[in-house]
Amino acid sequence: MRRALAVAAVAAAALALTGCGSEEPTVTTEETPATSTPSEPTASESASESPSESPSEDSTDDSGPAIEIEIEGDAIEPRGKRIEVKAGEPVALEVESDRAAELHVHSSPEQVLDVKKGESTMRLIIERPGIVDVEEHDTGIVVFQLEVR
Amino acid sequence: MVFAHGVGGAQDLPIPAELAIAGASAALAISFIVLAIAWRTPRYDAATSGRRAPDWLGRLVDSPYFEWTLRLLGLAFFAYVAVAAVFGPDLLVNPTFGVVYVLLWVGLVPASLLFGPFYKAVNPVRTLHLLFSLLTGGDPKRGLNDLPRWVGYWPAAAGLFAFVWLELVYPDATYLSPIRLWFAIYVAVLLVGSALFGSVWFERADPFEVYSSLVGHLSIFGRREDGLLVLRSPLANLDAVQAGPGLVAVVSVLFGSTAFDSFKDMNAWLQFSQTTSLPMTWVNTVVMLGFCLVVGLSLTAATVAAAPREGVRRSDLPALFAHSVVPIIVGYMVAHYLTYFVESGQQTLIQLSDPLGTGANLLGTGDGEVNYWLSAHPTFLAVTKVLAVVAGHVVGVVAAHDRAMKVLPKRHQLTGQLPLLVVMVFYTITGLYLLFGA
Repeated sequence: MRRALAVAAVAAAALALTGCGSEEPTVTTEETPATSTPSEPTASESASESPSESPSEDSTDDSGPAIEIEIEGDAIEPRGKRIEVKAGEPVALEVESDRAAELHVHSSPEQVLDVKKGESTMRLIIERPGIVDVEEHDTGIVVFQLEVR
Repeated sequence: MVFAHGVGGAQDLPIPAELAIAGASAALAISFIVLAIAWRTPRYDAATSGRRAPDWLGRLVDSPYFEWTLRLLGLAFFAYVAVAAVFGPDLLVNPTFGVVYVLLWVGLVPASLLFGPFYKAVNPVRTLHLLFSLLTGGDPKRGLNDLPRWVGYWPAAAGLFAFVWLELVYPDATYLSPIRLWFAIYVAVLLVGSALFGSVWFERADPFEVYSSLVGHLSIFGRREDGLLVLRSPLANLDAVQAGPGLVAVVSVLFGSTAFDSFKDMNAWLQFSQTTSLPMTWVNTVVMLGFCLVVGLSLTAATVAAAPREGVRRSDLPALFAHSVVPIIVGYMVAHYLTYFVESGQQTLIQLSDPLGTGANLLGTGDGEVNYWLSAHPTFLAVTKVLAVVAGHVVGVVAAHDRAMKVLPKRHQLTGQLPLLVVMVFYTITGLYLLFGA
């Protein structure tokens, strides 16, 4: 049940974003670079054509695992792949997409990653042990699962 | 990004292999130790067992004030959630989902373990039936007809299957309209049935009441046939489960569906379901039904294998032993749902303060934050789960043994319970395997 509930949780929350803007954000995702540097383009989401990770933010990115994701319309690779990571360790998502997409991370609490068309790299941190599904919102496909230890 | 509405979230890590193996070995060993050394004459008799509860407790529980306080609280809570379900936003911020899938479905297990037949005491539809009877001057216990004996618990088994299907199979389970429809039918079936057959209908057809009352037999509170409130060990209390047609189906649906829930969280099943072109709703329906059938058929086969003692019909044996699966179910439910209940339960309590999505904080819980201590301690969690499964198994085996002493003839008492013992070990090891493989 948990998965179904979580899927809808994210869908619902995404829809609700406009409706409850006053709530406190609880996201633990760290997209690189931090959104607190608005003058620069967000490298994580607009690092098109540059396969390397965000240069400025930190050097620990290389230590964590990296996951390559391809989105071509409704076709997504991988599907349901399970990857072991450590709690608190950053995971690099290297996404190549032909469309804008939304990745829903079913951690507790939930997180959302916005994927732009083109190539981009995002960073994801899961704080606590557990199995975390990462789902592409439009298709409902669970792209991969993180086994966080 | 603003994003604070998840219910569910991360799932538990699989339990470590060593723990699963240790649990399985313990279950196996204890089973045969029980068989070898346990008593040879029946020890639990629901009609006589237990100590009379202290007077003040008996008076309190049996007083109309106490009864009606619980009834009206249950009804008020039902109305509160119904308002959220009808007028609240169709989003997961709506507490309805958490109330139905976490507080009601999972929460009734700990509530019944602690207090006995908890849902019966607060059942809002039972209260409506009582109120209608008061208004019309009728006797709530009597309907237009007597419920035929063969009906037994079958309506509850069907209701339980309908609920787990909504929860685990139906893809839109987390939208309001299917939940509203489900509960509209639930209320209608119960009200019409109780008008036809009297309040016994709730004990046979209400899935939540039947489930809760079964689990309540593992509490320390019981009643003798004359209604006297007694305190007794859960094992003695379990002996008081009334066997009847459909009881095997009830325990099969409860256990089979929970095992199916674990199964469908396995990575291999996820990969299959995402690559197949089969209609997954149908596949899941068939597979879940299959899980329930495996439980029911194995329990039936294992119990009718033995010839009963004179005066006991062979065809009654499965139902006479069905109570012994209840502790196994409860142990597995604890393992399967503990984190979900603790963490999503907190989330639901927070959401309950804002039933209409207006930012209200009616109950004062709205500012709370979920405590994720349990998720953060996976070893503690895994050990607790395995202990729960093994404890449930032990209680189940002892209950089955005692029942065998009662219904099997002397010369078959040990050999006669072997098949069931094997089946119980199979249930427990499958359960541990699913916890390990998820």
